[in-house]
Amino acid sequence: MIEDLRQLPPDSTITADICLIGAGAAGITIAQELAGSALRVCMVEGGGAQYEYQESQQLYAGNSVGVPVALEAGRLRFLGGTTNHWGGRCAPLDEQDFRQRDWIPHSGWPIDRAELDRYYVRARQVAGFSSPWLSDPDTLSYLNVTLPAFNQQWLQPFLWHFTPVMKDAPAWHWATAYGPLLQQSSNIRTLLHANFAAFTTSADRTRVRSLTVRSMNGVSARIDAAKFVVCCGGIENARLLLLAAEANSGGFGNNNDLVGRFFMQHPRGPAALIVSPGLMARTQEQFNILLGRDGLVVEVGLTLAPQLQQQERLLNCSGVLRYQGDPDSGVAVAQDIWRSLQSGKWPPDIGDKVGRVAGDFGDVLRGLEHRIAAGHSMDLEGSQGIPSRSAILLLDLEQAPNPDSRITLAADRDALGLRRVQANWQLGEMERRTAARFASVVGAEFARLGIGRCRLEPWLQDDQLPMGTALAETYHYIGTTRMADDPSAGVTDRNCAVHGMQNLFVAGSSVFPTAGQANPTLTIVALAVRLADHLKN
Amino acid sequence: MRLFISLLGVLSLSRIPGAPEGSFAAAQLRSWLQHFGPARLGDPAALGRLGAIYLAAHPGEQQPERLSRLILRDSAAPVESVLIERIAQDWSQHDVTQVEGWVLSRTEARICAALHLMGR
Repeated sequence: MIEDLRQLPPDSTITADICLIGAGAAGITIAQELAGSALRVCMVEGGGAQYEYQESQQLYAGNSVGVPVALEAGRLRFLGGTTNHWGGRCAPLDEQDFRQRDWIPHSGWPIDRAELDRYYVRARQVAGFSSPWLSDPDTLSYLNVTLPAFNQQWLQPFLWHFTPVMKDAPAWHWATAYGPLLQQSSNIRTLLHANFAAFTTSADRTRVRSLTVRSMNGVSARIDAAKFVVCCGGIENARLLLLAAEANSGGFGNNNDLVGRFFMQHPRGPAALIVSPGLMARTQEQFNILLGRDGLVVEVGLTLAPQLQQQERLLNCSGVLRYQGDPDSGVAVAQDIWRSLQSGKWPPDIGDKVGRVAGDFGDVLRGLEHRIAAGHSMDLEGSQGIPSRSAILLLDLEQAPNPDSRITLAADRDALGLRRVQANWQLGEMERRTAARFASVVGAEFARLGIGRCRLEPWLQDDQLPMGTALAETYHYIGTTRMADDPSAGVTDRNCAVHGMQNLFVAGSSVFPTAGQANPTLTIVALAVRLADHLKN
Repeated sequence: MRLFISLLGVLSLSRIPGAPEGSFAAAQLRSWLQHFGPARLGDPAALGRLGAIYLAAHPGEQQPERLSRLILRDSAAPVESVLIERIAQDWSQHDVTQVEGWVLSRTEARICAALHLMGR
């Protein structure tokens, strides 16, 4: 059932086997895995069922002292958490991402990709995919796409699958998908407007005894549970552990001053302009967001080959093409006409427009055919489908783990009296070197294959230019409660248990020791499914 | 864009019929560039400007004889086919350089440098 703390009697006590703190991708995944089991689960969520600024979201405000971090915009504090602005882009991490790479300090997971493979299969179902994914070659074959013969020692294709869009929802959100289950579940009690206030612990501070939650209007409750799981996202997970450690004079995984360190994202930004003397029609059919039958939506991009990463001591990195569609092309004009007609308006200058469409009739027909075959409207692909002569190579970069890139507690306090968060996000030169090398390899391969010519962006030509202005956040907050077998090297162990605590766990991307280049949600979900199994046992 | 089209001209040499016979000597590279460069490669001034930047970063290649040898490598084949082969080889071996951010094959950059030296 879903309840609101504000409606509960003051100072209620809830007894549970497992308390989940946070109802985002990780928390809801664990909850739905435990639904129907004999375990009594209480999931607390600071926000309500919808976005509310005063009542909840404002608690995410904080200070950013390094490369800017949009602490309020990047995270959402209500049921479903940050999945409420999730784009649905899913891909597993690469095998190499899990390895200790001697050229990347602090790299290496205590588990390998094989350990996660079966959980990735389950994670795909949790994330809304109704059928198993085909392999990448089979997916391309299914989409009737043949890629150019890149040198596989340098570049490899990379596919992202998009979660199918749900009916009656603008996108696939955890709250939309699992709200009914949470509402109907007899063993999952979801409590909204229940903000973290404090943990109480055993005398030796190795065991959490209870969690106190509080609403903004002052209603409190205590949750006594056998196990607690912090699942509040990559920044808030660290904040809660830091707040708890401060309130309890240590512990909570921070005996080695590691909580909040190694804060990473996937910096994203333009790396190069790709230009072609003619239309890039063939390339646009290969490297794009591609639509198949049965709701299949896949984006095809490129990634740095693992061999090259190793040989040249680089990070992982991927890139996709964002086409700069010609607004005067027949396809663009046809889309414009279509949009006008859809909104019940007769397009202005219809004569000229029809003339343009007729002039590019071959392209228009081909585009239309493709969309009809895929079962989608003409408008779905936006400028990605408009014939282009140029494109931007847009990067997603792995970051090297850096202990000085960190989340700490700020001096000022939020409306509940808890210290706000301070983010000091840092970018390193290994990131720039990786981006420059990737863009250069793409440039060489595109030239060799006659696809187009490549000009690197200024920040990759001049090491003195700041990276922070060229690269943007992806809101993938990673690494702040990193996983390691050795307590001196990480906050959590391979089972996501906090080192030194008997019954406290962390779920979410904060446990990733390294970030790879792939979007983190699928891995967050896979680890959450794995943790749910562990908790059940 | 103009530069790009020019550079692509280098790549598409193999598709142009009637490639001229030539020797590997510096004089013949010069002759080829004079006679066929503008048509095959595009605007010599724009390419020469890139060549000047390349040479500033590679002062050891400023001497025309040495630069020609680096491009043609004493090949007895016709100039144009040597250039095509060298550029393809550069891409395959990833022997590339960047000039004003453009990713150029080493031979392309040296051709630009030769055009710059000719235009001085």
